[in-house]
Amino acid sequence: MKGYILETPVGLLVINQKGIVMDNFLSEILNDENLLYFLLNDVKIHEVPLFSEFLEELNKKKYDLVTETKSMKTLLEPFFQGNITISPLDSVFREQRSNLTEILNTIGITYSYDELTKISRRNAKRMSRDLIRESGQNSDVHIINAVGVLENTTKFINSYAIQLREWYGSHFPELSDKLVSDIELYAKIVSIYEKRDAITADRLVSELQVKEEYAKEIEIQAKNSMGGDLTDSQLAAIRIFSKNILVLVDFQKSLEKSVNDILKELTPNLFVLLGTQLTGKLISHANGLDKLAKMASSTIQVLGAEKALFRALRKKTDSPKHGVIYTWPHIRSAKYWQRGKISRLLSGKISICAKVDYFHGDFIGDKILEELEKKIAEIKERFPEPPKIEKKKEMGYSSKNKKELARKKEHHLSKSKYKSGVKKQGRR
Amino acid sequence: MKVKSHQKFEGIYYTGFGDQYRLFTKNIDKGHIVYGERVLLEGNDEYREWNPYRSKLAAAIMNKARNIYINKDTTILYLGASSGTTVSHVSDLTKNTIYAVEFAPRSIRELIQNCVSRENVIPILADANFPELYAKFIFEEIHVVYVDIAQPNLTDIAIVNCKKYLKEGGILIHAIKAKSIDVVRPIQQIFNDQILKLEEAGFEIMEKINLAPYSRDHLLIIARFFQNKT
Repeated sequence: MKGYILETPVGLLVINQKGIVMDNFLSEILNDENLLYFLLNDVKIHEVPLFSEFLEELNKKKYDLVTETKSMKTLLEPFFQGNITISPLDSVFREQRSNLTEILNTIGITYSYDELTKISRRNAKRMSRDLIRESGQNSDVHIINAVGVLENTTKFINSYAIQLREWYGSHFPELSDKLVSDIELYAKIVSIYEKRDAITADRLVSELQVKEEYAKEIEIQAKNSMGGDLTDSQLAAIRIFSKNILVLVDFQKSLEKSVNDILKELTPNLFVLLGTQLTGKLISHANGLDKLAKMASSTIQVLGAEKALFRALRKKTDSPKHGVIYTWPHIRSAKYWQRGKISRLLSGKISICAKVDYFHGDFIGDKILEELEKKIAEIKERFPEPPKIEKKKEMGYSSKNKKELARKKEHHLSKSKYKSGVKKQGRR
Repeated sequence: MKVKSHQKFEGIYYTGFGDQYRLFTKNIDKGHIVYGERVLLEGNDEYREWNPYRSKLAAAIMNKARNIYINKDTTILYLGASSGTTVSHVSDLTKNTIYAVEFAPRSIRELIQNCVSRENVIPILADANFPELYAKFIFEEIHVVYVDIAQPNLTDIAIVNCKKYLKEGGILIHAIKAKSIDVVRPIQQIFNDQILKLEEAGFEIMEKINLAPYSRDHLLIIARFFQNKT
């Protein structure tokens, strides 16, 4: 005898093909509204006495059970002796689900439409909430957000630095980015001394641990400055601004450290290969380490260059050589004809490392980095000269493209003829 | 400005004409708006503006859809509910249940917050590729399946869900985004493929509505489904 296990908001029903209820396991009987929810998510369900009675009943009647979901099968399998098949698209389920209230009526249980909605809504909300909570605990989310904030903070600091130099430059223009290239030191000098007259070599050495020679140079520049004098209130405003920059710099440092720690623990191999910034960027572009691990290396290569990639696909031109991995020092410093080769190499290694990290494998980052550097040296040796572009272009075009080019050329020529004709007419 | 009820569709209202033509639905969740839309007060009723640039169903109505098959007695399975923009308007239209399925935890977080006091929306976090996963929440016959997912296999998802839940002769409202299926192939070709797929699965295409200028490269298909046709 076939028994279809129908999952409903109020519990389990075992029905036959005609929709007659053979057995049931309903929450009303148990007085637990969230029963079904627990049933499907808790492994301890078989310890509930009424559920084991229900299972005994199933065993006694020797059903051929049909279930909708895999999870239901795995739940029942250890306790049920007969056959269980999974058939989610069976029409019995669809037909019987559509007159569920009537079926419940036949076994003497009545629920109004609103009550059923309420129960179903509560179950669904509860499941969704639990899953959301789970996803919130995922450390990928934190990395993605932290890397985004870090990137923005760096941008803010850079643009503020320019503005501070500009503003304080009216008072002390010699303190330029050539003299003090570090913005942190610059902001400290501004916030502590305000007026350039207050800057002395002794104070710089004792308060800011500046090297003596360097401090003397700053003092000389301060004494011979050509900057204008500012009022106290103007200088105070600049000081507050510089203090805020210092706060941002501190924040950036602590954030970077915490991201570092997370990445070292979560993705040791990628971290060794790429460093903090790039690892974080890759994870945030891929939207999680799990997705990065599932990506093909060719996808990783152009991650972050989606716009260029799709343009290339549409216009059938060459696809971009690199996406965010462009910031990797070896690629950036390479010659343009070597970059594509190196980034292809790197993306392959990234994909290996991401997979190892995601599945918690051994630490192989140092070996891979060594191998990479060796191969990059090889590439640079093999391709020291740029390729001859003209020759390559001819080879690259298919006959169809050639025809199109010829047609365009003709069109262009005819246009220019027309233009020249107009000009000649004008002259006459 | 006074709202008038729409000539064709029950529960939908409008104001103005020409460029100033705006769609409205009567708010069942008074005092709350969902996505920063404009609200008109009239007597005791609130009317929320339905933005066709944010909602594909509204865009279809603006582009003169003949029928949307959603009235106050319609039960809807809504796949790709996102943060609940369209869902909120649909829940204004119908008194029956809306099963709003969404896969991204980030979006359903907002959906739950938006639907706190909309009693007829059931927010479900599940993958629509496996319709049996949310069988335990559904307790009635589904009249309309609304599909708005940006996945390459969205038509397959729609078909599987219709086969599992949709009643005989029920309606599928299927929003296709050409760019999420293929970026290279011509758009019309992509649409034709999807339509063919639907017809092979036993759908009878009732209407095809291009959603330009509200959404580019989008097509809204309204089809009737017969379980036993294939």
